Amino acid sequence: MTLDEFVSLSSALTGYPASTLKPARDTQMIAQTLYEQLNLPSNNIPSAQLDLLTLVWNQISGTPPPQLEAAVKEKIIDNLAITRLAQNIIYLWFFGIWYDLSKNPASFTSPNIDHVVSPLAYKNGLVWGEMGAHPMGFSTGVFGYWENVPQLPAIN
Amino acid sequence: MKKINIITLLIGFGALAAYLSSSSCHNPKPLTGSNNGDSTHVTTPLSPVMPFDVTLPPPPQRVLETTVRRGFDLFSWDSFIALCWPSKSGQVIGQFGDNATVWETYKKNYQVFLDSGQKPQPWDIGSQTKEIFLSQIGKTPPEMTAIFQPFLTGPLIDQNGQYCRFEIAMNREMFEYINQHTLYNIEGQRSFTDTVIFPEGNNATKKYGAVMVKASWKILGAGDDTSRFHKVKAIIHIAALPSRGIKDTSYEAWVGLVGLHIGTKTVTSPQWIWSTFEQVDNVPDFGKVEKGKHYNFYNEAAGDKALNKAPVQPWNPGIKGQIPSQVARLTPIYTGTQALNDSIHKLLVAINPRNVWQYYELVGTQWPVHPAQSNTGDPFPVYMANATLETYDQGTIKDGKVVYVPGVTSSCIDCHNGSTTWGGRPADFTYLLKTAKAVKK
Amino acid sequence: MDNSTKQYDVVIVGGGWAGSLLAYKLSSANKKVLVLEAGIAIDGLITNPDENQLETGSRAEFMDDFFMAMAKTPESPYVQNYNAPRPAVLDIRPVTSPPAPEDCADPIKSINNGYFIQKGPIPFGSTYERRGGGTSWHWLGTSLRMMPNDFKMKSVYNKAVDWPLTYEDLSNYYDEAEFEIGVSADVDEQKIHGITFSDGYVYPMAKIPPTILDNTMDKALANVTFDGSSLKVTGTPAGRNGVPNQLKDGSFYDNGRRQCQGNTNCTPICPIQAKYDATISMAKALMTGNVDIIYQAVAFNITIDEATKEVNGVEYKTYDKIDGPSTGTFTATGTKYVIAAHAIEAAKLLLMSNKQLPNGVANHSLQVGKNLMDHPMYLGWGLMPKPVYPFRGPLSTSGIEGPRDGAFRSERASFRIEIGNEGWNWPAGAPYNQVIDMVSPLPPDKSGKPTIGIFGSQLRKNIQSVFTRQFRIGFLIEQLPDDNCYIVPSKTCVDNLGVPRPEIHYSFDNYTMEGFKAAAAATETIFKAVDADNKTGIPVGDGGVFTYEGVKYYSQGAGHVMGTHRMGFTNEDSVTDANMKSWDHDNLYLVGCGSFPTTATSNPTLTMAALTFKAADAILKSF
Repeated sequence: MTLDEFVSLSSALTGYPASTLKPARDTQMIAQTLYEQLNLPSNNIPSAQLDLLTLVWNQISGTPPPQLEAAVKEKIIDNLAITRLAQNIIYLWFFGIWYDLSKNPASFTSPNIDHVVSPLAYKNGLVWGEMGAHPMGFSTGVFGYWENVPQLPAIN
Repeated sequence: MKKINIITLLIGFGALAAYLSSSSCHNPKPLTGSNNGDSTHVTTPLSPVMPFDVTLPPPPQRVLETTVRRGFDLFSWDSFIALCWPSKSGQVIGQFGDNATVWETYKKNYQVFLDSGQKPQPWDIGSQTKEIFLSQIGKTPPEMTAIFQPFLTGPLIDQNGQYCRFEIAMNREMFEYINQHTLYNIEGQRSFTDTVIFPEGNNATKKYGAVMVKASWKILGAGDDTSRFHKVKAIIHIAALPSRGIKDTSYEAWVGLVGLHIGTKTVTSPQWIWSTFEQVDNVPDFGKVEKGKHYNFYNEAAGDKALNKAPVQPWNPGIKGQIPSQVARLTPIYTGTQALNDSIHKLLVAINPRNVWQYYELVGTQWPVHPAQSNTGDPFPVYMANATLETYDQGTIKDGKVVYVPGVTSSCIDCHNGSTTWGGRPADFTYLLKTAKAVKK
Repeated sequence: MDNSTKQYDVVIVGGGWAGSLLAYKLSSANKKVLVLEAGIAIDGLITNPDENQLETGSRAEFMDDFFMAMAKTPESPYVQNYNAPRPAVLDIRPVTSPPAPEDCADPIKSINNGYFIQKGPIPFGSTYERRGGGTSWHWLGTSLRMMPNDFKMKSVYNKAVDWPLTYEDLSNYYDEAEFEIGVSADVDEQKIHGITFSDGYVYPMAKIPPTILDNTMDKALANVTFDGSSLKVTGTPAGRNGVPNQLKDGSFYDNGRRQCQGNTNCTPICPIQAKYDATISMAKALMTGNVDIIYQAVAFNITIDEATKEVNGVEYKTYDKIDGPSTGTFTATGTKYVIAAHAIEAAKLLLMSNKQLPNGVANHSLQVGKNLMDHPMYLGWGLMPKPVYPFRGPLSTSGIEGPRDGAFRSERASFRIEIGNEGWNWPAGAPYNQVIDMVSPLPPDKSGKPTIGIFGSQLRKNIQSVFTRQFRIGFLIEQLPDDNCYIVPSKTCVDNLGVPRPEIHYSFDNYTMEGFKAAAAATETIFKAVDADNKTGIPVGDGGVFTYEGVKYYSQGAGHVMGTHRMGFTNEDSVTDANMKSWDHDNLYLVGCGSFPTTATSNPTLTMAALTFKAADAILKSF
């Protein structure tokens, strides 16, 4: 999977525009940082699974936007051969975390290879902004901001 | 990303940009300096005119890491040259080696925020230059004048065991804003219910914005090549420390400039543009010590066990025989910035081979890349530190590797975003306002 | 290193909360002070250049460890130190009956499984830190005063014991502690249950603004009562920076640190030190030039002059690496000695010092290590009908203080209710666990096989809907001194330096369990009033489970460890007098939350700080 494929697939999986995930003027290079997880040998990604996900994505990536989510649902999410890897891409973006592919992230069994990708990956986790908040431990708010209702990001 | 020859893209943007990119047939009007009757004339493309705001290439040519960064670095150098330009008219920067500078005619924070809390004297360059009183020994994220603030991250001690001193000055636009809005004392800030918004520099309207300058100085002494420093005579203050028999004293000494922050509020960069310069002999890059070189804040023989760690307590400049700080730069200067430094150093040498300003280098420029995106506007580079001003906040070293920590590792904009007035309101990215005192009745 | 040749006015064991405050006050009065800190140094708080060769930590390093931690527990920023180990919330598991024998032959492996030797029947749920600054690194910041009746449990409610001092005795010391910590609060709002303030008193800073959740709860609960107590919501005094106040003397308060930016991370670590921690007072102490501090110095024995019965030395072991061997044994000597080493570690040290006195130092009363108490916490969590936008602001800004006192205290435990601004982060691992449940729900067989979840716009909508409405409340439940709750040095398990680990016996009496029962009922009342969907269930930290009247409850540690060297009226039933001076040894003081005879319901830090200043005054007067 190339970086461009990773970004466009990530956009379909997360519901965020590719330009948000990888802005033209990219100060923190989060897309690159997360993408590197797919090539990290210690993550033990079965190459057949990664190849299949890439293949399937390339088959459906040209789907017109209104039908794209349905296509992703049918071809990727409902496909037990690749859905777990797709879920991990979602987790990368929402948490900055890579979960052991061989386990369910909810199971908490150890040992595992779950890990936070980097402090910047954590800080840029999408889940925080989605709820109108900031990553715990990194706020750019000013004193007292918490009195005011935040604006939630628009969902298309 | 394909490397683009940035220099050729920059024709026509700002004085330096124009010069650096010019061929011989396309030269901006050179500046000429003379020394009151001396027949020596100096010609240089460097300019005493401060830029209002950054000038960037047209949008299609904007690449963050190269062309945009170069635009901001040029802004930094243009500002530095103009600020360090001789305050005496008719001279060119470094024409006689060293010179008293324009920024040293700015108002110091203690001339604006008076101990009495009273209204400061009006802007008058003549009276502002008279005193240089250096009492600050600790660099903290907020510019606090008192020595025993708990937020101190530690003093910087040079190879002679002498503490560095810090001073802060502001330009007229910033001063007038503070003056007009009675922000020069605590009571005034507490009754100020508006939002603090300092003036913004603007290329279109040719208006200057607020500029603040923060300088770090070392006391010149053994081992220092004084020809490589901008130097002034200053009053050095030592606070009392009874437990060590140290009395409150002041004395005169020559000090050399080792670091200079320039913060500029502009319309493109409401989170300000943060430029930082250092004297070239300050510190080595981490892991890249030049054998045999005399550094201001690094001693090859001392080893790296206490590298970038705060000095031993108690912190008082009067204590004899203190262990020097052992400092390395954790983020090397970006290669494009370094290339620009080299170009400008050549221009400075052309004015005078003994030009003292050739010994100062731009360490970096931080600016908000997406100003409207958040309070901090997506700063780039993400981290930036001056080895003499954010010595102990440059990052940490873990298993021999440099680790940066969001929210803790020095980032001008991230930190200054937390500045507030005495009324608890956002202070528009300056901790200066918090140095105000109460009105003495 | 060996400081045995140097004589100090005061030797303090512990560089945490009480040790730092004491060092500051004593050194400011020109006393020569030595601090022995078992854990690693903090950058900038070093007096011996050699310390820079040892292990030092900094906020940046702690933050990095926090960011990289999978489980962001209170301990996550602070690496375990096998030579000065500390407990961790992840180690709290139910204790079997009888307790399983501990396999502790390999100290490091065994400590990785939990530092405490838990004998139950309920595991002790609270934790602490051993390093410069101590547990102040991850305190919440809550700085409530105790109420007058809290000092008089015996005389008012015929329960437990009275304190050997009253609210009035402590009032000025509260002022002093609030100034040093830098507390943000509103005087009028804090005048509850008989709490009074001196004329014209103002807190150093104005109260921290409430969150949207606080205001929502306040609106719904203003006129609601539970068991006769008002459930009115009030701002919680906080040791974090708000807007400076003009003080009684006309000056404006300033501590030089930033105002709170609402990082929602007070525990485990404030990234910008807007929240006070004890390193601030220690820095001021060191700047006087009157204090030496030795890190990586683990006190293990207190020696007594047989003739005078006074303490004449503290023996300590040093080490270079946090998992390395001991590098030497030394003795620190001074005129006065203070043990300020945390309630559990202090009691352990006193009991370990049994070579000259078989029951240990300062233990004529046999109360050392006894009366171990906490504010066991009951958590309730739910979903609001409308967004309240949690995960913003300080972790807690308001609370419900009405149920802290009332006639019911002769029957059941009182409690205060903390309103949490971090959604279900504490009880249910938010946001991680709920997002995982959306994206890759656990299959019914709980295996690791793939399951199908939601993604894209649906995922985003669900996140917005769920996480903006999450909230939790936490009940800090009173606990009385109890013979069944105590700590002793383990006879079989030691840390990496060979120092015994704490063996803990812990349980809840009916008084406390009735408090849990009331807390569960109060949760129903509150959730009904705010129209919330009650989602209280099994929390992620489920080790503190117990059954009372057929109902299962899950208790959490509050981190408020109290009672192990309590103050009192006589040397027969208490360890120290009201100045925290040992009844048995004239030059020995025991300072910290271990001094508390009863727990009350307020987070104990502010009271502990006030007591510390009281002890400091007594020490200064004794010279």
